[in-house]
Amino acid sequence: MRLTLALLAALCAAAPAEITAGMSAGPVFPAGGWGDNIGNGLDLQVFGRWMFNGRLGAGPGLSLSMYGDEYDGDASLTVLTPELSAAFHLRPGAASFSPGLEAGIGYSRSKLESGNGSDPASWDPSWRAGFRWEFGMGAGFRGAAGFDFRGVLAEGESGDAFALVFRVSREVLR
Amino acid sequence: MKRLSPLLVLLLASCGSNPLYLRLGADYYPVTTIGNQWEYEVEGGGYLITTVVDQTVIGERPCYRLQTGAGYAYWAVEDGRLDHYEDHRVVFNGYEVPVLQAWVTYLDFPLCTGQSRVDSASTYVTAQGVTISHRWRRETTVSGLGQLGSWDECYILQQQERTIDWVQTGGFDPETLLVERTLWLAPDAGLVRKVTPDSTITLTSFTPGS
Repeated sequence: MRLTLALLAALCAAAPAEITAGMSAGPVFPAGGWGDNIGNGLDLQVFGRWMFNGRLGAGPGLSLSMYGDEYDGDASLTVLTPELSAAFHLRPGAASFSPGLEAGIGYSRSKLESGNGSDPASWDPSWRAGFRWEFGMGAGFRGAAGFDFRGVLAEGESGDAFALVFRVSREVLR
Repeated sequence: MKRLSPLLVLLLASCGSNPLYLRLGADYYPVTTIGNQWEYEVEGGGYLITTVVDQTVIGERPCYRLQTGAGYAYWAVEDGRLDHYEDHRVVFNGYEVPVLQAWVTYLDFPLCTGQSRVDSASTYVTAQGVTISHRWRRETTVSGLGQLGSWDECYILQQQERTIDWVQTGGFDPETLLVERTLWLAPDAGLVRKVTPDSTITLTSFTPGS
């Protein structure tokens, strides 16, 4: 733990204090048997990211995934995830071509509700990793589109999913 | 960091992990695999064997036929619902008169603690010169989660079924029948225990079909 903190401190000290904030949204699709009766969902995320240099950044985020019933029922599954994520881009600041990778780990709270009832919420470690294509949007905004593979490492069966991600971010502090 | 450690421990202790995704992915009433066989022990003596014997069409709908002893039951799974073919009959003058034959939803998937559903029907049939009224209502509530022997993550269901039959001829009063059941459903095994005021059956073995 001390080594990690020291490494983070060194990275922060070596880099200009640049903080990016943003939000993303996109559809999320359950993968695996747990999605037999749970339909596609919507994922929303807000994040802040300390840019160690132009290419590499890391920071906290909070995402909320809401899944509906696969059929006409009234079941819903909400997954709330506080997380730490990191992103790496090959050509930071490029107008139209800045491919990159993004990954995060967190702790997800999953809750199933149906017919005025609810199952006990489950707290489990989670991860996500995916590809991003970043581009400039003007006025200091950066957009990105990409996809994520993600999983909630729950007991017995993991809650895997695939998500499309559309992101907008902006440098908020230098 | 040392100051933060107790906070972190407290936070993690307050968070509960449970196999929610396992329950979501499990089949709590596996009646769509031919050959599935359940063997139940009847409290007080005896055994009961239920088998998914084949597929058939009843009530203009393809379904699975389950045999228990000499009796058959018909089940279908579609659009996240488990439907049961209700075949209600009233004995009058020594004859069985069918009063309700219809597909009725039995369970809505995914199951969830606190979930509740009510199904009902009201029919009138004229047979042998008399009118028979049949009123039926079934309320099913998922009351919780539990473990039964080696069967973990079971949903416990309370079911209340009320039937009022009335042969509308002088001298006959409405007959009311109230049945209360507790059902234990285990993931990928189905019914593992059924308790009624008259009997209790408990699963002793489940053999999956192919």
